[in-house]
Amino acid sequence: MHEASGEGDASYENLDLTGTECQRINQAAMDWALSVASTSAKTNYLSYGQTIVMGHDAIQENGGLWIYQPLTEKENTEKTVRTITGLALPLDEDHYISIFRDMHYCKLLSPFRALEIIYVDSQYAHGGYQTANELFLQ
Amino acid sequence: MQKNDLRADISDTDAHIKIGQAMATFIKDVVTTGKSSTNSETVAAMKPFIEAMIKEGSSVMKPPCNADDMVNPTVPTCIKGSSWINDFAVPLLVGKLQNSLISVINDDNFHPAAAVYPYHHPLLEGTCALNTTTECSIKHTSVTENAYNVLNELDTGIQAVAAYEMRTKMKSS
Repeated sequence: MHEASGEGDASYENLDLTGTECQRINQAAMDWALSVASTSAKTNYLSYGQTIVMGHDAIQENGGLWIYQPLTEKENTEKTVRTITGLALPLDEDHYISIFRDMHYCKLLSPFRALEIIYVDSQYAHGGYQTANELFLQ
Repeated sequence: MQKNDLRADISDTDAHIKIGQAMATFIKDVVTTGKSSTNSETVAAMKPFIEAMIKEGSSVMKPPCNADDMVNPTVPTCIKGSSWINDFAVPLLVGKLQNSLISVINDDNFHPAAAVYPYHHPLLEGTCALNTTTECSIKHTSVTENAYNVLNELDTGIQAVAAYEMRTKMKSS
C-alpha cells in the first residue's frame, strides 16, 4: 500500500515483518473497549480482572495452517495476566504462487470480544464467580 | 449455568427493587399511553455492546453476506463486512503515509477464509504520485471471516458471544 502511494523505497521488512502489525490492531480493540466500558465494569476490571496484554505476533507461513491455528488467549500461572497473541501471515512480492503475493493476513481480536473479556472473562479468575453460599440463597 | 454467573454489583434486595420499579413503570406507561420507552439505564448499559457488535459485524445481528462476488451486496438482510476493519485495522496496518494528502480507503467484505471456489483475495486498486498536491486515495478491499464458538448456542453463559477471532486478509503494508 505504501508502494501504491508512490513510496518507491517502502521496505517490506520494516512495514510487514516487525511482528507487531496484528498486535497493534489488537491493542486498539482493547483500548477502544476500555474507552466505552461502563465505569463499574472498568472498576471491576482494574480491581479484580486479569490484566490483558497483547503479545508479539505469532508467524505462520502457510495459508491453510493460518486458518486452522487460532488467535490465542493464554493465562499466566497466577492467572493474573491473560496474553492475547495474534497470528500473522505476511507474504512478500516474490511468493512462488502469484495470487498470494503481497499479503498480510491477521487473526484479530474483535472489539466486541475485547468488551466481553473486560466485563466477563477477566473476572472469573479472582473473585468474580458467585460463592457457593450466594448460589444456595438463590 | 448458574455456577458460571458472576457476582452482581448490587445486592439481591436492591436488584429486586429496581426490577419491580421498572416493571411498574412499564405497565403504567403501556396502560396510560399505549407504549413504553426503554429504560435509560438499560440504554446506557447496552450502548457499548451494541456499538461493539456493529463494529465486529456480529452474526448475532444478521448473517454475513458471504456472496460469491468479491464485493458483497449492500442489502438489509445480511452484513457486508466489518466497520472495525475499515476504520481501525487497515489504517493501523498501513500506518502513516509520507504524503498526508494520500489515503487508503478500505471496503471490508465477509467471506469464509477457507473457501477456495470462489476464492476471495484482498485487492488494491489505484496508485498515487508521492508528490501529489491534491487529495488522492487508493482503494483496498479486505476479506474477513468472524469465527464463533458453536457451543455458545447451548447458552451456558461461559462461551463467548462475540467472535473469538476475526480472520482478516489484507494486502501487505
